Amino acid sequence: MKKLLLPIFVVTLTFISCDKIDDPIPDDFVGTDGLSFEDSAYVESNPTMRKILIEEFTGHLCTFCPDGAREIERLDSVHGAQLIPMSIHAGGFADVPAGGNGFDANGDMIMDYTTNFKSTDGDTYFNTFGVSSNPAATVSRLNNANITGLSQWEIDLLSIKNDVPKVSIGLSTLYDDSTRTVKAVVSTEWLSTVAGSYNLQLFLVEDSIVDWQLDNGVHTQFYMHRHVFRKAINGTWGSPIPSSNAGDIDTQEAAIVLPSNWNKEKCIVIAHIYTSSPNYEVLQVEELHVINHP
Amino acid sequence: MKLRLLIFFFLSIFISQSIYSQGGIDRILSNGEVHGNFQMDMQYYQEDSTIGATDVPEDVLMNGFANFIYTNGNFSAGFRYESYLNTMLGFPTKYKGNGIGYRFANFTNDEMTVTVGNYYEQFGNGLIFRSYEARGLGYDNAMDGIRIKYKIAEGLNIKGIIGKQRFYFEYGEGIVRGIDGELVINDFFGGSLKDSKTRLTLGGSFVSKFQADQSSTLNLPENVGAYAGRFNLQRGKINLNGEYARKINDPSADNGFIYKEGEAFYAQTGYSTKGFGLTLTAKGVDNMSYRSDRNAALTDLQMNYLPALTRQHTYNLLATLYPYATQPNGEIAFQGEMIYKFKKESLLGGKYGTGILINYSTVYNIDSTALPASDTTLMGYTSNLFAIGNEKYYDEINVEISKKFNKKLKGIFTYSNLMFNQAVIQGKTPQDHPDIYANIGVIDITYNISKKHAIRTELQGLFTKQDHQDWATLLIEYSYSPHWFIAVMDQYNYGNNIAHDRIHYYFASAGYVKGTNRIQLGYGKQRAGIFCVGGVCRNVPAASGITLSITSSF
Repeated sequence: MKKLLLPIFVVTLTFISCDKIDDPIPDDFVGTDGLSFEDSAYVESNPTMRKILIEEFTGHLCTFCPDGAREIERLDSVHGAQLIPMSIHAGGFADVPAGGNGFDANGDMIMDYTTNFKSTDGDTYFNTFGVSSNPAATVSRLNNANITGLSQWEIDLLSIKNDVPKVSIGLSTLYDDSTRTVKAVVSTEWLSTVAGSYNLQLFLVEDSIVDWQLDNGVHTQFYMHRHVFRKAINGTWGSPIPSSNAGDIDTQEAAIVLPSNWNKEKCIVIAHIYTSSPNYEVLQVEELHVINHP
Repeated sequence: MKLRLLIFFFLSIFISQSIYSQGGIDRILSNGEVHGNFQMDMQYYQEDSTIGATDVPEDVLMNGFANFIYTNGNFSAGFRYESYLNTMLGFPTKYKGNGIGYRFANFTNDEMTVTVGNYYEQFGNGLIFRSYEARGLGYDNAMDGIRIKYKIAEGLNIKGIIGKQRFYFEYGEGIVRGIDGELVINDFFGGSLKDSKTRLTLGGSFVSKFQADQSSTLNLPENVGAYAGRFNLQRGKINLNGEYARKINDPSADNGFIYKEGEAFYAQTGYSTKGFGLTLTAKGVDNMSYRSDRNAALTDLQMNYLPALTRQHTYNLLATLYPYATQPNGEIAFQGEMIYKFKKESLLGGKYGTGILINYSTVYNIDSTALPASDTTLMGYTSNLFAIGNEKYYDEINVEISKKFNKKLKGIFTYSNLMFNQAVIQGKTPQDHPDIYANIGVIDITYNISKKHAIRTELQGLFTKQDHQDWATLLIEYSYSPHWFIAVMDQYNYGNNIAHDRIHYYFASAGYVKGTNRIQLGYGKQRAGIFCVGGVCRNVPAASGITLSITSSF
């Protein structure tokens, strides 16, 4: 009997490794059948330009984070055509504190940090990439999504600025105003054969939100929050791209319903392709406004 | 770096054994053995617009590998160095550069055998798990992890595996784990059963893979299990064996992300006696593609093996023009093969006897009904694994007669008639690619001029009204034993309806063999086509140029 204990143990362990799915479609899945999209746009990668995604981690109570935002604005003005910025509000500085609003002796409001910019996806990236201080960002998730301070960002950017792209992105956005549904259709084409596994990631970003921000010790009421990350449209880590041989084409789509407090005119879809194994490096990225395409 | 680690690894084993073993270094040296083998294939590519062969920027491409295996008593370890500089045309381009593609250490201690590192393994017929390599295909799904084999009692053995699958020079995303048990009834119960003419073996296996669910559009199963049961019954000259396998919901790129369960069966019976053999085989497959990465395609990261129930051909036209590739999403196949040898001095046997082989195989789709797109269970379709559908995929009858005429002259004569559904098997559009019906004849004659000199010729013809119409192949091979051989071959698409496509694919080669060393040099054209081994296939592009092949072992 003793001899049978080991196999019984192994068999028991093995047999529980089965996930039977009775409800294949997630509850939060956004279907688009029957919708009539009145707005649509398309953008395609320049096959000779590798665009660069900068993911900044910030928070409305992070006093030096506006310095990071200003550095990104500067980089955007220099490398604009090639840079796609995104600000992820995550970590303790992005919390809505108890009693987040305050008034002076005259009853005038001196601060109001009751808007919650945080997101579940954003917290996951914050924890996974190990953000420990701000300002902090990762440039195209180089060096296994290494988080660096603002002095490093342009160095990282320049190190890949002249790279020949390995993959091309064709991004379409369609918008149905009656349901506030955004549908993104992404076609990827490999320009060279690369090893590794790759995912397509779709983000929804809202630009130019005016709200409070602690800026170098000053509570600033009309601070413009740029490129605010709202949600990962196709899951926190995106969806896999089946193959990565030169010439391989893959098309995927995903949809999201914009909550009423998100300004559709400022919403942007970002599509990027990153290495899911062995690191997180972003190989190519594109962005497109949902409506009011510039 | 990896090579340094391996050298360190072997030195550590060597030194530790030197210090601690009773007999010391002399005993270690006398017990230990190192064996290995080497192969290198190289081709210089030329552009040839007549066959669509392109030049390559490197001019020369090379695939090579060498295995080194050290054994000492109950211990063995080894590695395979692989080199692709760069990968030859037709092989997956993700093989690029140099690396250690396989390394392992293994020891046996009483009832237990432990393997760490890479290993190949198969449960039963492989319906739910087979890890193997086919170098000709560039196929290698070696496991990297741990394998334990344990003998519980006489006649009762189990083996457990866990690991990741090789994905070129990396690993697939999924984790594979499984267990297989086999019970030889006669040995386990012993007594009079042990010497019984009837022998029964039962087996069962379970395999599960894990891959994280990253989808926002589907709730994907992260752990997908499959199980199988099998038996093998032998009595005298008769053998009967069968296996049934089932897999739970496994939405993947192969099946269009449906949640239907998969199933398969394999059954074979055979009778064999001196001069006569008969084998009947049946197989059914329904939604049984099983990979450790649900998004993988082509031959990447396959966990199971679904053999093709069609005859494995060696003659050029039969083997490469219309080879059958297993359809893992659904097929039902039957094969029968009879061999008979007419006795010497009989009417048909003549002075030396005559051998005849008749093989018939046929493959259909399984009977299935698609579910409407509105079905929220995403089951895709309903089906009956044991019911034959109405679309034929493949059908072939082969008759092969082998005859020795005298001490110097012998021949093999083959006739084949086949039907090939190219739309299904090769994924082509049905409207432009009708089913192919072909007659094939092969005459293979060997004439031994003297003890050392022999000449062999093959004359092959394939006759069809479809596809590229009629082909002929002529091969002449001259060997001067034991070291030299030379061959010329021409494959000619003489019946092509398009005049400028009536192309000669000529190839000449010469080789030298001494002991285990073999060097072969060739020059000529290679037709674009499909190369298959056991129902697993890869596309081969047209190529022209000089080839060099070297193999050796020690």
